[in-house]
Amino acid sequence: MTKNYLKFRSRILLIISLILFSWIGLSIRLFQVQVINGAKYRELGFKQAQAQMPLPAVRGNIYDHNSKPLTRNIIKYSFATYPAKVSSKNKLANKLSDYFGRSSKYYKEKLEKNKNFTYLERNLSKKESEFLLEDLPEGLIVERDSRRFYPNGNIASQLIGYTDPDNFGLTGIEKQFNDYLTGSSGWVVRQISGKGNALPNNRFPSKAPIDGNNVQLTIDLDYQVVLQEELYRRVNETEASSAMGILINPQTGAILAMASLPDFDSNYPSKYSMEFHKNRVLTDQFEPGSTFKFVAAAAALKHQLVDLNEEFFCENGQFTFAGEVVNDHEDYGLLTFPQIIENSSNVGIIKIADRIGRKRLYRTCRDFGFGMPTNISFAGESSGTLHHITKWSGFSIASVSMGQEIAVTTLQLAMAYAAIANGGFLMKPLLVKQIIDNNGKSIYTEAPEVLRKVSDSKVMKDLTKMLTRVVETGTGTNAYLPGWSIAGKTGTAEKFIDGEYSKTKYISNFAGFFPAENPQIVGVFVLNEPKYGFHWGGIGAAPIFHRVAKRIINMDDSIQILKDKYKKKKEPLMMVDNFNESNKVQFKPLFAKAAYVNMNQYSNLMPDVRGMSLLKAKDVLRQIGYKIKFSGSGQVAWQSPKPGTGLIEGSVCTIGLQ
Amino acid sequence: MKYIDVITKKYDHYLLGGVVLLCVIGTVMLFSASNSISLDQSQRATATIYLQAHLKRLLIGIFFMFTVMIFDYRNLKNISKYLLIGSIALLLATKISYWIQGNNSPARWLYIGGFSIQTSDIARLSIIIYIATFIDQYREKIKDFYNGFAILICILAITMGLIVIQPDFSSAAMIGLIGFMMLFIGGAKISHLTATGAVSLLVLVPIMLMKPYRLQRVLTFFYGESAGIQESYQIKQSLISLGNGGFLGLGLGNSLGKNLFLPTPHTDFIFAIIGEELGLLGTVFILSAFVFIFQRGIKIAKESTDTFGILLAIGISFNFILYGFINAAVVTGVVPTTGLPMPFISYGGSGLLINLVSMGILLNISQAKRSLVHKSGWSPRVYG
Repeated sequence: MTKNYLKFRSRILLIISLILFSWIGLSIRLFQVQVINGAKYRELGFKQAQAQMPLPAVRGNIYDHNSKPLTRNIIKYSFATYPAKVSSKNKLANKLSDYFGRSSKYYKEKLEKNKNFTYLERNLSKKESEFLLEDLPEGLIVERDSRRFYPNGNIASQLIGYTDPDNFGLTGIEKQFNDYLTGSSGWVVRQISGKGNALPNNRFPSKAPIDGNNVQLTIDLDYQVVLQEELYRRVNETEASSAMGILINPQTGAILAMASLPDFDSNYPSKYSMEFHKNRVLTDQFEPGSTFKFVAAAAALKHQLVDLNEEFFCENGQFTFAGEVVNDHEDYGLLTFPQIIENSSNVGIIKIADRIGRKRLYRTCRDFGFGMPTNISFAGESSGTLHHITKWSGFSIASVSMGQEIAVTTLQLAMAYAAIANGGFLMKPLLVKQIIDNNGKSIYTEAPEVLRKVSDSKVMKDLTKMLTRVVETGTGTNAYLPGWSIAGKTGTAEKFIDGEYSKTKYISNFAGFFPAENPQIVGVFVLNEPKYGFHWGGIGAAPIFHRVAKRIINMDDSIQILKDKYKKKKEPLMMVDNFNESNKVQFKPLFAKAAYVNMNQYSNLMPDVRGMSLLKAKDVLRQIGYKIKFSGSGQVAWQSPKPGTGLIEGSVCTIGLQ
Repeated sequence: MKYIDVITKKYDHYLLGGVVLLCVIGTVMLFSASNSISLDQSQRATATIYLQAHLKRLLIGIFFMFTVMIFDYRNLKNISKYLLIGSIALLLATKISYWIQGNNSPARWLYIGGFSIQTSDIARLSIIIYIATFIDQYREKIKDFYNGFAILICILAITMGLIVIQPDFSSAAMIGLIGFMMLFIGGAKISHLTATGAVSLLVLVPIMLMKPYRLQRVLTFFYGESAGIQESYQIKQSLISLGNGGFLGLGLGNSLGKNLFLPTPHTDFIFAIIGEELGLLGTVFILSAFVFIFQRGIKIAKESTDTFGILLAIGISFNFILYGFINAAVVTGVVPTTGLPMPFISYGGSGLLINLVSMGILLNISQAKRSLVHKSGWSPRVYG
């Protein structure tokens, strides 16, 4: 200590003590903030710096019997924003309007009305959004998601149904099996910055999404196409207002194809009337007319009330029963039992029905499944109309025997014909073959189920013989296919409108199966209000059967006249992997401005990182899930594998910098 | 060789070591605190915008520090007057250049050859040197109000006034505090000091509250968040970061608050990031390092033979620790928010340079005494 210093010493000591005092004070304050209150602040800190982000599960797909996909998932882009954070709303609205063609007023209203997260455009294809993606305005958030795409358009659309923009099934199989298809989405907790962006480093937990299960239907896509095409064609030819058709396998009850016209495109459901969305094969009931005569015939055979060679006098076309006059379409005299069916004589079938009695006729109707739902796994099924016997009038027995006063769905009719074809067993209709989880394990199967035995096989064989003659020489000759034996029955029903039977509006239908000796396919076709002349079942609807049968025989070698019971058709293996088109979509990094939206899932293609800085390239590759090896410094000069190569998540990617 | 010899033998190597340690810790923490903000600003191209700039300044600062070390610090007495006039001129030039450009942002920086210089930093050092010179020359006059005390108060007032109109209230207040402290140590009468203190409070408090944001900050400080969320956000984030660190910290580079939660993690609130990554251990260590350097400064003053050296050493040490402690107090929410950097650690233009030059002067004073002790007088003899 110098002499000079002593002059200042006392005042300097004062300053020093002040400093030391503040040192202790600050240390105490730090102890208070960091240790005593640390837990409170830590909670706040972690709360604000982490965000749980959803990892959406990929929706399961729907396949046909042969594992052909009926649905796909493709990448769609949605644009959203937080309007409160947008500095220039006008500018953003104008820009979006330039790209998407909507008026800028539309976007401005959206931006001004909402404060929180708002979608401006949803579910755009890559093509529609790629220009905006290249030049993303500040504040716009891009979301990539997988969206449903229906590759076959109108084909089986009523069956498959469609989903809403959030991938929630609204109709059809999409709705029926929504819980199976959806899967469970996962989440990942990410560290976020003050601006809300996710940061690449992640020390937080996550839960992987479980992709939805795949549903395999019994539908055969090829058959479905044939059915729909032939229905279109016939509707055009006959100017019918609508049509329905179904093909089923009578041995198992599996539905091979079902469709009603007019139909719609599942990709654009809102462009079509809601009426077109209905699967009318199940939901709509109609009076079948003569196609229903098989019930009376079956009852007569079952109870052995009529001999096959017995003749009935058909009153030359005009007959009064229970006070009402019944006409035949042609005047017949004496007809044998098979001839009554063959020529579809109303008078004849009424005489037979009279012998059967109402109780047994009603019983047989119930046995064939009319008047009750088939319990198919599809929502909205109608049970048809079959009045209870106590409500029958004196004429009812005649009406029911010729297919009036009752209403059936196309499906019910098809199942009843299937019972004839398979020797008397009423099957439960099958629509879903199996549901397969994402590991390829079958978690649900619908096995063929016999609901009841309607009658023995001899009765059905006799009935089949009669039906075969209908096609060979009777009213159904238009369904005849040379070289093949087809069993079927025509139906011409006057529509019941405002309490009386219309003389101008008809339902023309045909139900049948083939090959008659070894039935493999049952088909029912219904034309609603065809042009006069085509209103006869044999003229309007029967040709559809002919055409469909012809095409199916040409297409499918497994349809054979003689069936070797022990030689089973080899079924192709179910394609299980959740292939979707998104794999083909070139991945483009959006990190510069866009929020990180879960991209790990879809992009298995190597992006082009050349020209990026090391950090950015790492960012891009890590987001997709690659491991990175690098050498050199500067900008990325080369990369291996080359851009566009498909890679499995977690594989190593080498980049060189210069 | 001789140059190195001079450094190791004659200069206070504890002080030099302390400064180097702070610079190293500062650089590491600056990189950690600034990488997120750098990535954000460069659109994820580089994490080192601030690190690079800081290193450049550090090199230039170290060069200046050693340059200052080799000249006799007593030469500063001769040029102190010109330094003061020069820095006042710079303050004026700053204000005028902003005024000409029509720039309405705070006129605190002068751009010379790609470097931004905060002119109030230069003024602060000049004031310290000038007051030390004045008291050294007119030891007795300082007790005289009109011939001594008032002159210095006037000079202080002019400089502070020029800084207040920039506007940079906190820097002006710092200069006032340091000047006042030097006058107090220099032997000014307590009655003069209290009277002036009272008057300046009467003048400064209304000036301080004139700007709404300063009033806001003070209100926030006293009444908490209810006064305004905007202002308290920084402090809230700062406390969250500190608390997040706990006793041992989250580890280097693991701060959550630096990811754009804290608005200025690399400048005024870097101490909070240190707290988050290195914990209570880190923050108390930094504070202790400041106290250690201050203690070395006092020791140098104690051993200095001339009044100029004593006052200069005290002034520089006090300046140094005042900035460090005020910054820590802001970060911990003890005083209202001001924009004062933490010496050697915060990122900031000329602050680092001036601090290194100040330390160069302090080291210079330390070697003078040692030269005397070794009976060889002032002679670094670097020219051969």
